[in-house]
Amino acid sequence: MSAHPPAPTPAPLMTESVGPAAWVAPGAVALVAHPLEAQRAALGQLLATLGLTPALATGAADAAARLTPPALPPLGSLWVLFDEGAPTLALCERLAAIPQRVFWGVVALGQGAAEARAALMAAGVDAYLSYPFGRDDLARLALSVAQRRAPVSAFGALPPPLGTAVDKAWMQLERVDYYALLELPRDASAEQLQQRFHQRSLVLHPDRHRALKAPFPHVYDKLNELYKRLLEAYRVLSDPERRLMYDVALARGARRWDERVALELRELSARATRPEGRRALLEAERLRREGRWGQARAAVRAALALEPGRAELIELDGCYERVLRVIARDPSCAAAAAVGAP
Amino acid sequence: MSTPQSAPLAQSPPPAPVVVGIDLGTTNSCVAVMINGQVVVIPDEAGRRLQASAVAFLEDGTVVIGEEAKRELTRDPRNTVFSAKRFLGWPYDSDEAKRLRAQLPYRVVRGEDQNAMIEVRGERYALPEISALVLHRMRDIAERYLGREVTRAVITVPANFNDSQRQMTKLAGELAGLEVVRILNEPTAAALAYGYGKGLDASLAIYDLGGGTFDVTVLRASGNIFEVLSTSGDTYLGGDDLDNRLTRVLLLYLQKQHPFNLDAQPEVRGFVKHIAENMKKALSTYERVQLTERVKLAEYPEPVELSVALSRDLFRAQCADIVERTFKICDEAFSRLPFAPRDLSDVILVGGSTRVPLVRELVERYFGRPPRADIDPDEVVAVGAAIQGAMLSAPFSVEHTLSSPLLLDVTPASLGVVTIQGICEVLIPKNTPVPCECRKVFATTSDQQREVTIQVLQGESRAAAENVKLGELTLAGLRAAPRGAVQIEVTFEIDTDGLVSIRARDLHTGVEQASSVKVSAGYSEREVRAMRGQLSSHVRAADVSVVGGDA
Repeated sequence: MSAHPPAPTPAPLMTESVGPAAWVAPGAVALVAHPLEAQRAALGQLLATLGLTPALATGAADAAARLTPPALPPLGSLWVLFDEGAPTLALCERLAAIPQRVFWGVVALGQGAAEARAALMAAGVDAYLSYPFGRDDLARLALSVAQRRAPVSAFGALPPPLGTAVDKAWMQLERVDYYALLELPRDASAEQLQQRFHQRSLVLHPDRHRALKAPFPHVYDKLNELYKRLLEAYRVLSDPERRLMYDVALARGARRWDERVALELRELSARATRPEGRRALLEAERLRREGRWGQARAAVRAALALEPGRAELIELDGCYERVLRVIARDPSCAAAAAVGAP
Repeated sequence: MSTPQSAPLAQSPPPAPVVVGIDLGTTNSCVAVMINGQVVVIPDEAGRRLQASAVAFLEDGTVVIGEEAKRELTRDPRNTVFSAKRFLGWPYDSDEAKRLRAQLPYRVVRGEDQNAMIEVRGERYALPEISALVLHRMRDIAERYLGREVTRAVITVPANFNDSQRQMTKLAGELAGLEVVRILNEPTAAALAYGYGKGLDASLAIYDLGGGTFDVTVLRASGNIFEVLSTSGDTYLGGDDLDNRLTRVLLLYLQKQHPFNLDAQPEVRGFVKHIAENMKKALSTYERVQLTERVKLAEYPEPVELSVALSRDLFRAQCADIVERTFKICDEAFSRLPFAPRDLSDVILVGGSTRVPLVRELVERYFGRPPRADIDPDEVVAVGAAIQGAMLSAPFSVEHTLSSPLLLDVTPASLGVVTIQGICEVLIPKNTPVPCECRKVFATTSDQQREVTIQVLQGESRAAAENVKLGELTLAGLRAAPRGAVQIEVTFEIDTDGLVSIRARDLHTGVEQASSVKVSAGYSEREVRAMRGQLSSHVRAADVSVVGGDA
């Protein structure tokens, strides 16, 4: 393959008619890091005509300072960076290190050699723009960055640009349970679950973003992480036994599947020998954790009814009965009792 | 700089290079490509859509690949390599490799690290090199047809190939100058080819009986999504076994009619096997086949006459047990599913061996419905690979997202680690959807231990020694502490390419040791370099002989 791709034929879309609305998110900020004041101002004006709110930094260090909380700008910003030298690379590293990286695109400006460009791309720069350029070039490039990020905007009901949506989902990843991740109610049916998972897979599966892998490894990795978690959620929720155990774990405050918890719950439910009985015991455990002791005991009794005379179940039922008596005297105990063993 | 004049964009996407789909079969190979939404199976210069996966090394140093090499099979079996894929991944001393060595007329020798190598005309070839020559031929056919360079491919493998076999296939592709965009499971490719654009909502089984391997895959197709539910297989079960049974029968006939010493002339076996294969094929059309063939035997001055009559009944009596073995594997695949074989909407046959009427009949009995008869079992896999190739090379667009198929695949073999007493502890079980990861905490077992070595295995056996070792990860520079005080959390990950990577983290200090096991297909850097060197000269030789002139 040739090292220099032929000049692209401009797409008809990219004329003076390119309006800001086509790709600029409302309130998007463009951070310009340029050491020369005149250039800075010219770039700012250019960005303003594209509908972006310019923020001007005197150089990489200043820009880095603006990227440090609490000065972090809002969602959906376009960062424009200047200078292919070391300071910019350091800035890129800084950008990549921000755990909740919220931006549209990082664009490096300059006239650098291929190596310098490659280094910048590797550092997480989304695009490179050579001098001289005009408004349309900038718009075209920003649009292409926005479009490349578009996959992610199909995540859930979140509006484009996609990058923002994925970033948001990413930020929440450790804070949501499987149902919230899939945006499903707790009582969703197996069909709803499969349908939702398939919908998400169509847009989020790593195979859909293969083109991102080499030029934008950090975006690809993020998508991959996100998809892995979706798959994890789907695997647990689509298996009736696991889903039941997960629901218990959820009631205990967990968000992710944990083999150790599963093992403990399997032991607990092994007091019953029949599958229906085991399910009833898991149900009882969940209800108990939610403080619904009366219903919980009913579930235990249901398990006992399946195999009357089973010592382990009679003993468990006895425990529940005692707790219920205590709660009847002092209802404030219910919450405390839910935490410990029955 | 604010001049409106246009400057070339640095980030202009180059035209997406074409990705071909190659079915690298045990017996035959096939290449296809998707052009403007249509899949084309690419014919060679003579119009043939299938190529024998055979490589012949001629006396004058030329290398002949494909259909031309097949002709050499009977003329010079010792220097014609075929069915080499069956050796892939089996150590030289394994029972499987021993059995194969007894059956095949060419010479197999022990290479470094237990790898089997093929020795032809005094030169040694690693198995990926042989596959690379076949792939090179397929690439060449595609380039001629398309009139442009082909550098990327999706290559298919049996679903139950382990990581090392996949890596070897990938290496073969790279040796042939191809970037292997994806190693795809053959049955999944078949399902993709079958369901593409049909908007199905169905559960399918793909029964894939090839030359040397058997796989069954159960899959759910809903619209554009193809979700693999379960897959099982045997890398040592296929049409070759049927041929070998028939060969045994024919050799007995020959022995009875004209006593001779088989061990002294192995080429007779190759010749008779060729006859057996033809008879098997004829039996797919006729109830009864009568054959008279002249055979050269050292014991007789003139070629002798072998005269045999075979009926389907005799064939059934000889071969039914081989076919029955496939249903044991089907049972295994269904044991993990909430439904039975008879609940499926369709059964798709893949692999040349499924043309055998006995196979079709027994499949129909097992699944309770006749298999689909409208699919070409020889081409369907390459077609699926081409569809996947097109999907993986397309730039993202919303339209693409909604209209192009998506495969949700599973990992074909369990991934585990060696624990005390050589027991294999499974971390990621077989049939887990990919991408996936699993975390596991390891603790030091002695005081002041400064190093932990983790051996990564793939396979279904509880005994570590019976599984394939993928690699070894050594975490060095641990804190000096009493035994058990250092706990290391290791994350095992399998990505959508089926590749395994590993990360480790000290739980107390939080120090991440980003070691990743490099799975090297069992070959060292040096060996791979040697393969590259050797291959380039043979590829030149092949270009001259097969294509005739533009090396």
